[in-house]
Amino acid sequence: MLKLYQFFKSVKLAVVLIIIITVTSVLATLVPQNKDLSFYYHTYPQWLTWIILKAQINAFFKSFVFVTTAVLFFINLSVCTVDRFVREAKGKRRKRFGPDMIHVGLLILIVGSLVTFLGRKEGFMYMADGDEILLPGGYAVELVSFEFFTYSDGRPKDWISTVNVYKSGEKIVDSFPIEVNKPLHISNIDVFQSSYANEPRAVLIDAEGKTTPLAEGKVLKTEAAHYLLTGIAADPDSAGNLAAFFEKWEDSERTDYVKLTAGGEIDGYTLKELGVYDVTGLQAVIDPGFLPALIGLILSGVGLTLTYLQKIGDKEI
Amino acid sequence: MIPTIAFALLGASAVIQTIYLVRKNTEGDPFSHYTLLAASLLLFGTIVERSIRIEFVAVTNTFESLVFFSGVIALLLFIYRLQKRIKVLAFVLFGGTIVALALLAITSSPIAPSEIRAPIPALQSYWLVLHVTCSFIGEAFFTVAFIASIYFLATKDVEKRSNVDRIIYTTIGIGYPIFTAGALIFGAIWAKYAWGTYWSWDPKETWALITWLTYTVYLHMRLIRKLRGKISAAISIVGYLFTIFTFFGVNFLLSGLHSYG
Repeated sequence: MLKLYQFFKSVKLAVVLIIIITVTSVLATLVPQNKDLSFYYHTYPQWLTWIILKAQINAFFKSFVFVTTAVLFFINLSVCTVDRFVREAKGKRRKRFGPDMIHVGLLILIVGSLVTFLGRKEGFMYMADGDEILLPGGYAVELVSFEFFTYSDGRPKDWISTVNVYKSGEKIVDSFPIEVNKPLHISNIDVFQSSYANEPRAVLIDAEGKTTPLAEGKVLKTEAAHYLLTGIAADPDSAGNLAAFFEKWEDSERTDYVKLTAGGEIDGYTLKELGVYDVTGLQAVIDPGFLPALIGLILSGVGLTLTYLQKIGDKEI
Repeated sequence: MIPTIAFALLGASAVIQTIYLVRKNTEGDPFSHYTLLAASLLLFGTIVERSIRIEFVAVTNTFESLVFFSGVIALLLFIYRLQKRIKVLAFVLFGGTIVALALLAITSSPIAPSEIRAPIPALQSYWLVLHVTCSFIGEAFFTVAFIASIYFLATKDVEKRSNVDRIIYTTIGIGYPIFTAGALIFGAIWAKYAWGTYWSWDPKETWALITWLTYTVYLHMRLIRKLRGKISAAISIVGYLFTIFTFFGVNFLLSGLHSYG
């Protein structure tokens, strides 16, 4: 046991493990990560693809080699940190809180990264004005408006998705502008401005005049049936015009196919228009590892500053 | 125009230093560092002027990064030249000047267009400003360590080696925390706000980590007596080569989230 402790508290082991992580990371950046297997077969000779896949270099940062090395490094760092504390407490070593804080910060960072790896959830959605999506925790996000600003040379200047947030039917956030670098925080969920697109939509209007912009793949629920919008395409019966194509579902069974053109009606809904709309791409993220990772990073930063100040005090720097 | 004048001043400084080096005057010349200071101020002036024009801190493309990086190196060399406690050898100042000159020369190449353009949405963040500026300030210290490491391996004079070893250690000792804050801490916070994830194993991120790990190895090697000296100087050189690859190589050879600068 003592031998194992001595082995893991070694600075030499730390140096060797850091070198292994460094060298293998260099190799990993030379091979594009997490692509389809066909990519590797098309890009590299067969023998090299075999090596890449067997050694898991294609997903290196989840590979056995990387994870094992990282675990050993974590143990090494933990033992070194404890050993330093014990020796400082016993007065056998000069108190240097800077390196201690760096080491503890790095341990917290590694734990945070692990929590992120295991617990991070994300979802992407494209929304047009008026769309609403449900998020975990009973929150509903409604897009009020999406604005896209450009510079005079056409490059993007800003995307602004203004949203309302509801919980249990009650508006809890009013007209929050989500921009790149300015996410919306709701409880443990962050909603980011991620992208934008142009999406074909079928805009339906009910008897009360409420509009529903329906994207391909989405379902219109009426009292009588569910209508899955399978596509918006050229109307085969009327050259130059568009039509919306639906599958009609009743009691979990597809009962019919429906084609609708502008002005057409299904179950009290009238197809107002068909067209291509600007939609915003929002990304919702739950990352329970970010806070510990941030604390770890800050602690390491403070530790580095303290170490620097201590070394200046000792005239080492 | 202003970067060109700064380039000329850096060139003049290098020429003056060369003359004194050829004369084997180890004390160095009495005025080339003032041309370094002037060049540095002009380069920072360029950043300020561009910042006013784009209404944001102008460190958002390769040209501006190179101007800033060169300016910091020139300023750092000036400050080191004035130091009484740590005597920096003339060769180290000369080498640093050449690196600053080379970086600034790249601003004239097609890989660093000088066109003034306001940043795209992802770059409109003050976390990015902290990320970029602190990374380059840290890397400017690594530049001095790199030149000193080359000198360490080239000379056999024990006293000079000892002096240079101290320069390597102190510059990495100061540069490392600043680089850590810039490249890793502020970079991670910016990434979280911009992309919703603080780490994505993007090639630039991975290479910044590789660079950081290399200097981490250097600092830990200092704790192992027999690994001090040549090996740690060699690690410092490797660290700087990784630094440069992270800046240029990743942009042009590996694709990822940082493809704009």
